[in-house]
Amino acid sequence: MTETTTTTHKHQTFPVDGFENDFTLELMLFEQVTNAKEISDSIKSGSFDVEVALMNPKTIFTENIVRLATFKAIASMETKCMVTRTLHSEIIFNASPKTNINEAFRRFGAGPDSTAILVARVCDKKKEQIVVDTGNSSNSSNSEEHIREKVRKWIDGKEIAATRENLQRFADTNAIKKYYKIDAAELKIASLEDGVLMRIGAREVI
Amino acid sequence: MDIDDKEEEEEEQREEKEETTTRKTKTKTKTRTTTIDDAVEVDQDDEHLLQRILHYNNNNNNNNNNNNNNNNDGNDENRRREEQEKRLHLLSQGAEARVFSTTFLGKPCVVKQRFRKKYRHPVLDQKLTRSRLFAECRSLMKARILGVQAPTVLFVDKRSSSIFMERVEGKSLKEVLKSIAAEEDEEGEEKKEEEKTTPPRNATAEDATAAPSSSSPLSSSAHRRAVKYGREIGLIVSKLHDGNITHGDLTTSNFLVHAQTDSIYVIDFGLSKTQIVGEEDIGVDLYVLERSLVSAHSREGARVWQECLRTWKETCGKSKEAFKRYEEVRARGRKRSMVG
Ligand SMILES: Nc1ncnc2c1ncn2[C@@H]1O[C@H](COP(=O)(O)OP(=O)(O)O)[C@@H](O)[C@H]1O
Ligand SMILES: [Mg+2]
Repeated sequence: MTETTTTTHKHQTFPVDGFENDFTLELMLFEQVTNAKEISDSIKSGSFDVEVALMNPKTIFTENIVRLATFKAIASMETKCMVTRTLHSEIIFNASPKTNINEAFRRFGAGPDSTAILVARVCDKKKEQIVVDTGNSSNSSNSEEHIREKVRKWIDGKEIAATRENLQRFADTNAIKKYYKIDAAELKIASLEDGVLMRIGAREVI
Repeated sequence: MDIDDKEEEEEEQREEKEETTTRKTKTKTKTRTTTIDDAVEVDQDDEHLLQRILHYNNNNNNNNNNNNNNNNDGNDENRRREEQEKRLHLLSQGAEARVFSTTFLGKPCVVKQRFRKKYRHPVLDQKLTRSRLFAECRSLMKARILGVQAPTVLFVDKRSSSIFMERVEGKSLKEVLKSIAAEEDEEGEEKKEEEKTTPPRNATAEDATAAPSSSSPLSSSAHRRAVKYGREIGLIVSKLHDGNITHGDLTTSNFLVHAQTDSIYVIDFGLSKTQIVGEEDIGVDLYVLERSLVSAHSREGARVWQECLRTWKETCGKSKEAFKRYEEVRARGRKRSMVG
């Protein structure tokens, strides 16, 4: 093991329902970020070579919201009906209760002023397999760590564990209620997260 | 700040316009291009996603666990548990839909899938199935927004005509009332034994109203539960009616009693209406519920119904006019059952 750190992993990984053998979702969480403008510019220009979705923890306040948006994005990719250009932008688009792309990015993506950023990355298991098969000396989990290290270098901030508890610290409840149009009657029987998941999962029906 | 809000609001209005126009054009193209060929084409792979989720079963899990053993991410344990919970599991097969139990986002979940009717014309069938799927889903969501305890929606897949929703862990009200009745019967037997030696209790006024269709009163715990369920159901129904939803199938199998909290959930909005909700619909809703409670479960059901109707009358804004209509519906029903 040549790893420089011995600390436990701060990132979290999740299976994607129905695509367990093909993809995993990985979350990394950063606070006290000082170069949000730079990194969101480099995403726009495509100069950063790792595909990620930069999400806003003020509105994306639980892992399940990202999981559902990712599941829907992958399902759209498989049926060739994505609305945006890339899988990762589709994730941000799918976190919105509406179908306006710009607004989705403004509200649910990290912007130039963000100081906390949630990085969501879909790992394609098949691609990793190719890396291993072509005799690359690094095994798949090492190459994954290599990518994570790139993300850490790219973002000037403090990485914290991408746990549910940490994520919820950044939640702006009023904004969430407003954007998803969730009011008091519903919250008597539902959590805020339930309300959000319902509007994302059944967006086509609303 | 103010300017920001204003801008946003204006934008929202603009968007809403945009959205409705895109929707219009979408429906237009749909009617234009739908042909029998299209319907057949969709037929081939439209269940793909649902099958992927449901069929992620034992076999896959085993392979996967082996593959993942060298991957020491912290969440492996979680993942394995989630994967193992996922089984193809049929809960119910109805006339229009089947219900599967699975997990989704790591949560216990059921999938209600409407299936094709082979005897219908394929295009008509697809249209009907989809509009009913959407109607059911909308009512379910609207109910939650009104503060009615119904399962939360997690995902809708129009290709496979299925709704993914929270799984309510518990039994149907039908089963619960049956088991209460069985317990009561046992106790009743014991009481009869006692009554041989002790003089019979005087029936109180409350008991007399409590069980109109039966001679012996309910035990206090059965009584308490019946009253509690009745109140909750009355409140559910009154919120739905005030919110312009009629359920259309208020039977005791469409209420679930949560095993942990003992509280009532309403399910199955497959026959619900949300657009023009008239007093007639409300009257029928109540009558169906009464029939289901009173006829099938005698004493316990009658007690639930009594409490339910009282709560509905007290809380539903539409109760005054709608109650009259309910009585009419009821009288009609009586007449019909006397003739038939
Ligand atoms: N959210 C749920 N949680 C647990 N069980 C459910 C749920 N939804 C449905 N079921 C089970 O499936 C059965 C059929 O579902 P329902 O929606 O009533 O379909 P149908 O229209 O065929 O009657 C229910 O009686 C219940 O046992
Ligand atoms: Mg039913």
